Amino acid sequence: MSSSAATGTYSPAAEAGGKRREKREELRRHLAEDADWPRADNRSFHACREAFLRTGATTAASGSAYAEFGKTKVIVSVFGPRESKKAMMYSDVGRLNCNVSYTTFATPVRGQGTDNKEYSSMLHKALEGAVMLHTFPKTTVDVFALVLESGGSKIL
Amino acid sequence: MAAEPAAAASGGIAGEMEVEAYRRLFPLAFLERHLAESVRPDARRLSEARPTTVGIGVVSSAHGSALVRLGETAMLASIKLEVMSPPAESPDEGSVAVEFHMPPICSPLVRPGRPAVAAPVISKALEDVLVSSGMLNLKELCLISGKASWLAYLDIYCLNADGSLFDAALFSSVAAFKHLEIPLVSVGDDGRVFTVGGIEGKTKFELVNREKRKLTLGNIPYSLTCALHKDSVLADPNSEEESIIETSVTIVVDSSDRLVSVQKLGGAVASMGTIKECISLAKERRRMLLEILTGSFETTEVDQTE
Repeated sequence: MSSSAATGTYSPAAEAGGKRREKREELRRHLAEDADWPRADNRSFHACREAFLRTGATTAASGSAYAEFGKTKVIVSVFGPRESKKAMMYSDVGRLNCNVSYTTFATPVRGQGTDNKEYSSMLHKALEGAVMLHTFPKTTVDVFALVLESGGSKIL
Repeated sequence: MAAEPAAAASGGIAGEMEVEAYRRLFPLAFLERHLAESVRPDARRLSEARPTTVGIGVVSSAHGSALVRLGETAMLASIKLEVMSPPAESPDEGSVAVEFHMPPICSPLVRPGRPAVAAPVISKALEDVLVSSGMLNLKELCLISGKASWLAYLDIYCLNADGSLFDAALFSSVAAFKHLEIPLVSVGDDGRVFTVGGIEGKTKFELVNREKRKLTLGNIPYSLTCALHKDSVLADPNSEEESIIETSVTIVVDSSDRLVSVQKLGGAVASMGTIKECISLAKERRRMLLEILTGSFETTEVDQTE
């Protein structure tokens, strides 16, 4: 609620905590004690949520995709290889630039929608191995991700 | 004028390459050759807008949302309601906070840390139009006079920028407001308002509002942007056309065909005749947009689950 402290508003949905607190306690008890119990959406421990992937989400980008994993929805655009102000020095390998940001409505309580530096660097580390940087020296490939709705496991 | 690529007429791969190169190297000449035939590079007539679609209720965590596609331009509008104490000078009115975002995914011109120049301009213009058109009655956003009222955060995200951003943004805001459902609330012991869900909730707590309700919208504004080039008026330009043509006019009319706003930011001088032509195009467009809007609400069964 720290973001709304400045403006003096609050989201009424966050106030109905009583029942949710009970649920959380029950969850914690299950995790500690039981070996196998149904999760909130009736999945087994190892079952993953349904995934949906579609390319070509945005036409302004060189490449783009839209992905859904259960309730998590993300749009990703890739621009490049293109000239970049940061890559002024000549380099044999290209640069990969990743940026992950949230919309203000991604989380149940309205957030600020700022960049998430942690996920950006995680994405960079994940893609580094897959991109052949030596094929586009001196240029930069930009990967931008926008999280539309967050329901856990966003890094996917 | 550049030498005509005669090879273009002969067809084949060589012919197509010539056309694409001509398009990149001499964009203005490329466009003018089309305009001479009263057609545009994407085969539209001069006064024809791109196909528009609206999807409502796309963001499940928001109280109202809409996704609009105007050709390739995609806009996602979402409204989230929060409770605030109304200011002393208007104790029985809520308020609306409008913000227009252009994230880096939407266009190669936007970088993180370097926001688009167009974003705050459109944001301010949207706020002005939404408030001045009389579409929203802020008194409907009041909860308890003097103590609690709704603050509606309207966030519009451009998912793909392909021209006519203001038109798409306004249409998506209107659709999101039409979709908006104010949740049931009750007042707790500490005086704070909280949402009430489910059937048992309705009977257990003393409700402030009787039922989940929608806002009554007054005169809804609809807009059309036209690009002006010499004697031609191009309705609903895409990003290629917007980058070539410097002059454009945005007309906003309401549901009774009254003029809400005319925006012409710089560019070449335009005659009154041209502006009048833009206004009549905007009125035609208004009819089409109204059909699309009501059509989308009829077909979509909105189910607001928790």
